[in-house]
Amino acid sequence: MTEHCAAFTALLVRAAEDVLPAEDRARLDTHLLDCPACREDLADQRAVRARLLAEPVGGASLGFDRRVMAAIRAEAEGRARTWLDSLDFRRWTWRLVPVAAALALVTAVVSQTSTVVGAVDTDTLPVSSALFSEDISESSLLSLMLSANVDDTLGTYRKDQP
Amino acid sequence: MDLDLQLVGKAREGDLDAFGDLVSRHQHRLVHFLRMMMSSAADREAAEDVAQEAFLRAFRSLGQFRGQSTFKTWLYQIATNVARTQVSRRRDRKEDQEPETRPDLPSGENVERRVIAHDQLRRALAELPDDWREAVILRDIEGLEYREIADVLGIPMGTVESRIFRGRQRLKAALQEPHHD
Repeated sequence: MTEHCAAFTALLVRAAEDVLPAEDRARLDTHLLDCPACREDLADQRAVRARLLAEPVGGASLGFDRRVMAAIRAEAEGRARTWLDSLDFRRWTWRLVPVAAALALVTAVVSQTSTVVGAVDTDTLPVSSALFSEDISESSLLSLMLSANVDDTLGTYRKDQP
Repeated sequence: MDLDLQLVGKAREGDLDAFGDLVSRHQHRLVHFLRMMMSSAADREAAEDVAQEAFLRAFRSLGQFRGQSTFKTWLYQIATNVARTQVSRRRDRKEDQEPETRPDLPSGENVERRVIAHDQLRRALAELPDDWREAVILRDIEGLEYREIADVLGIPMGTVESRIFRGRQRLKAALQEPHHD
């Protein structure tokens, strides 16, 4: 087969099946007149196709479809069961274990952070922060507000206390 | 509307009997196709295992079937992928042995000749490169259209034609060789 012949490959394949449109068939016939190699290829293509078409069809064994459907029904039922199982309390309990662990971790971190914040030196805080402090009595707070300067710190105020 | 598409629609809505009808309609051709495809490795049982897996995968993926191809084309696409994996595994495990079982052929005076011819063809098919064999079987045994074969194999039409041409050429040469056991 020449390079020129390679252009006829698709036509030879379909010509062997007699499904070539008339125009293509005429073009191929013209080529075949001068190309014994392609004529031989076409005969081979036809012979092999005929041989394959003659091959008896050995289908599925008896009951194959029932076996397939039994497997599919089992899977479908399994899916439904899985969905119902997801509502099961015990399974939810186990599934919530990581969520509970995450919540416990967050709580621990937050409480640790609070401790750190609580450890801040309050002496350096502005005197106005006494408004948000829980460990100062109302009368002390009133006295502080009346006597303290804006730039004072809590430390300055505490030193002045008896 | 195409009967297959109607059945797919019902199966999607949960009608398992409709899917059962699809299985019944395609089981024989699919198993036959797989036996030819896996001819170097498979007896009917192995081909049926692959066919069953293909039907199961099709059932699981019904939601993804858009109806852009026929159900048959889609099913063959799935089956081809399963078969490729299976053949590859068998080769890896070096279990690629000739089946001992013979196909069920009609009785008669020329049975022996037909059995020999069948064996010869099966061996010749087995020696083809996988992609050539798939194309030849889908066209000459399963009768799929060229466009359908291109869809099943995921290749251009020109490549389909080329593989069929080369596959038939190689088969012709193999079938002419004297058979030795």
